Amino acid sequence: MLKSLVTVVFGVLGIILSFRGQAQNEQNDPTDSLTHLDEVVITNTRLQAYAMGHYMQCVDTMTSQLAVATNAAELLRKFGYGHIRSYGVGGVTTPSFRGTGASHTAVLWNGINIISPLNGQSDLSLLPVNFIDDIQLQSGGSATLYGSGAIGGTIQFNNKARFGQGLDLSLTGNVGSFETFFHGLSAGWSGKRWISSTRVFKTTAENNFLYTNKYVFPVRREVRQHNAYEQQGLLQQNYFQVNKRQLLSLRFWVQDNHVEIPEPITVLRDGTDIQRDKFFRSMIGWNYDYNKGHVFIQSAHVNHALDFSGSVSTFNSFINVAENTLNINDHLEWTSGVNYTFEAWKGVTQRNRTALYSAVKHEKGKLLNVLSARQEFVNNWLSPFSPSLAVEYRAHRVISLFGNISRNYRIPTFNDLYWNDAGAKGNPDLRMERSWSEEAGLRLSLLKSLTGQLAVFSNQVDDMIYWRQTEQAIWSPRNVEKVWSRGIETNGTFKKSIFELTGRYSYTRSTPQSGKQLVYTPRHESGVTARVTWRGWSLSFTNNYTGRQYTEDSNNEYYALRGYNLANIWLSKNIDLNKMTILVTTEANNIFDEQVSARIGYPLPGINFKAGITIRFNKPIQQ
Amino acid sequence: MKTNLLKLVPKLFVIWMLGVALQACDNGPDPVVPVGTEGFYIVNEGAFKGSNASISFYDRNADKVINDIFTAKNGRPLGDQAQSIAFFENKAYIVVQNSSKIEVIDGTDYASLQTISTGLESPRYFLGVAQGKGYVTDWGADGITGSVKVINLETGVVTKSIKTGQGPNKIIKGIQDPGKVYVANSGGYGKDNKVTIINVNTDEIAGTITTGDNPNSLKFDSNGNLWVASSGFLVYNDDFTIDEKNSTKPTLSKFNSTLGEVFRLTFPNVTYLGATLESNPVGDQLYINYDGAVYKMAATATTLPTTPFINKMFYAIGMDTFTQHLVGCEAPSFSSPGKIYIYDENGTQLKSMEVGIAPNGITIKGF
Repeated sequence: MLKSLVTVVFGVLGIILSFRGQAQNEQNDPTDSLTHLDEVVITNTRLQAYAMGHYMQCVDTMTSQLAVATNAAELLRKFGYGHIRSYGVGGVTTPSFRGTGASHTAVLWNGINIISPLNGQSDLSLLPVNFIDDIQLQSGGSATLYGSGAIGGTIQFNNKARFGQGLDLSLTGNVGSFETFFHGLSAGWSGKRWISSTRVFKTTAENNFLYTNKYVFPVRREVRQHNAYEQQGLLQQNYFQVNKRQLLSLRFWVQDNHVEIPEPITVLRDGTDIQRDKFFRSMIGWNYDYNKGHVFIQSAHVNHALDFSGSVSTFNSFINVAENTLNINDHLEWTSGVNYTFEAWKGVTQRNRTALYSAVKHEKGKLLNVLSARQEFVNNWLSPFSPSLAVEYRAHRVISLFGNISRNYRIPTFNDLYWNDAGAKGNPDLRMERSWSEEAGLRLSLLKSLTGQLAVFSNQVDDMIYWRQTEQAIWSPRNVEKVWSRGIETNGTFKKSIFELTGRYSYTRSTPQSGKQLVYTPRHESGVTARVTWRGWSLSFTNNYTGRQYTEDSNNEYYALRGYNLANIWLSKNIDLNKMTILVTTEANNIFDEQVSARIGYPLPGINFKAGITIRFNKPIQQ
Repeated sequence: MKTNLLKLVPKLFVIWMLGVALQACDNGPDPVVPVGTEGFYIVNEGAFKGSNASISFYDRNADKVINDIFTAKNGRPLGDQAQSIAFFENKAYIVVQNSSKIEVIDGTDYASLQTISTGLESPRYFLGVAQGKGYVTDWGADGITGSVKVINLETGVVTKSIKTGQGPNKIIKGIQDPGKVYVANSGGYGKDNKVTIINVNTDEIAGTITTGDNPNSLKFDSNGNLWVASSGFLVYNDDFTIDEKNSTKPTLSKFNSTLGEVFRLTFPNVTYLGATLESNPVGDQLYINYDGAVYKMAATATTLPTTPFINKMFYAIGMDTFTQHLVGCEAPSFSSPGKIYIYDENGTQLKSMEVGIAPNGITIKGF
């Protein structure tokens, strides 16, 4: 009763706020912030220029600062940015947009898709927040722009750079419950023509929290065992302004992750498995502006070795993009490009993927249209032709209407096709998944301080690939399901002087042919964030409600995870000294000490605490 | 008339003696209704690491299945990969393999009494062997270091570990000598070809007999012969296809009452699930689940049947010893509910009902 009341209250709050708001993303749109800064580098403009006609969310700066000592998974979980599926703190965490699965989200780092060609997923717990300057979440299908797998949504992690800022040094230390430590260091020089910056981090946690084990009689309190993790990484970025028209960029990212894989608590013995992810990502880019448009060329290499208790799986991806944007006239812009990706697994299994895409953006008066299409060739295999149309109509000073329809697809992963061991067999005869995704929504703003958006959506995936254990107890994937997801997403923000309040609500029905709700897909999710900022002080409160989740196909109530609320509080103080700023943060998580599970058998910790400090030193360039 | 009465005296004496003998056999409380009349229990294994194992009950009078009886009573899930349920001394012992535990519940109202976990690693099947004493077969954490754990049922403490072969699986009492139990060493994650015999009075190994590779189930027939079904051993090529040459086929062995092997019959194909054995309660008819079908053979036969009794693939088969109906357990996937199918002696399907995830066997309550 209380849960449904909370859901309704947050839902109504979200709707009210959204009806009184203005496009939240417009305020946070990085292209918008461009105008405020002297010189800014944003390498892949396509990603922002064509991201309209969709439900969008951006992570604000304050939130990023509060979450600087953690990873993207924790940030999205604590601040309620959409649904994520997780095995707990430090465990594999993947996004689930609009009732779709982990492999139905494109995860982009500066425009390149970093999902693994092996499993089609990207583990968000491997993305440190301090390596990212900007996070944007776009709901709905957009395979025309982002390619295979962009069916449920897209998350973009971008780096930004400003020229002429001088010397910048930053040091972060954070300590938390369950022996959780984070150390981050960054140093950079930003001159008038070139930028070079290096960021490193190391984090470790024992994660040995107390939980209640109901799988024994009598029920007892236990300490989570074999649940530690250790991650360290380095990000190096270089930008060189060749001349007014040309910009070169070069980035390296190397990371080593060592995670103990715990058993579900239903298994009354300690885990022994260890997962080690080592990856190396590098990218080089060239931007060229000419009178009527610009050219963008980028090449990236991803090498990822996944070692699961001695069983090693390695892949290499080479991702190359060449793209031209032409401003035909004041109303018409035309972007077309080619993406060539080479993927290899264990050096033996490989494939060539070539995608051609084109998008036309037309803007006249109150109406904005983007018509785009993509065609991909995988070796000699043809993806479904994917067109999309997005429309945004500024009906009134306070109201914008938007909508889109798109054809999307997902190429089976290497695991889907070729996995082979005694217990599981890939299926080389799989077809690509295909989807139609539709959405209609509105953005409103009655006053400057009120912004909001609401969208209704529908997404049908045909030939969904499912891994199932057969009678012989062998796992194998098949194109068995037709899944229809539909629902509502809404959020709204009210800002007045020192006060800020955000509400969110989503309703998701996601059903295969059986008509049952998909596992780990709550129908209701809602959240509220309240923040007071005053003279460098900031007090934030979030509460996120996750509705009831089924854990097996028949929606058996006995194995469902009950709905729960997780509430957190942050208190921070920013001290501005001459050339130095000091940010002190403290946080209390799960303040009502709820005993909940991320998934069946994987408990989340009860109330826990963190405290940290970030010291930033800036020496401006001598004029 | 008088002579007739006198003649009756020895008969009455014999009947009285029989009554005493029966009384002596029955250690448990007098059942209110004859054993097995209420129905049978279905063990639903659940998905590996899915934590959704469950117990269903087929209520014969109401002719329906009641699912999740453990969770419904105790308000908590059963655990990961339930392998079996056994009734003994008015308690039920649910062996939950991947949870490394036995859940002990009241045999009548299913209320939790205890969780036995200390000393167990990968337990499979439970057998009550003497008053206050039970055995459970255990694959060991590595699936190779097999043993039979001796459990003090008063305290729930594992008092001894008897080393067996690899992957000890089903365990049955001797028919002529109830002081011995027979354990089929199914190989676990390794390979074996022995049945281990244990003396329940000393908890010591009393001998072994050799069978085909990976014996998994065993039954005594009406003449006191021991039948053992073996799955065969699978060898994989480098690409994980089955190496047919070096793999061994399922077999069915017959041993006489002095445990001499009478014959060993070999099935035609190497298969993933091997062959498992059931019998009717009297023990004159054997049922074999092999290669996507169920076969029936008389316990007097000397060759394997070639025509399926039921041409359907089952994850496991079981025998309703009260009605003598064969029960087929179907696990279409390990993430959605399975089904049981009930067949009469002629193989005619009587009904089918939805149960929990991955049903792997049935048990009749018999104290």
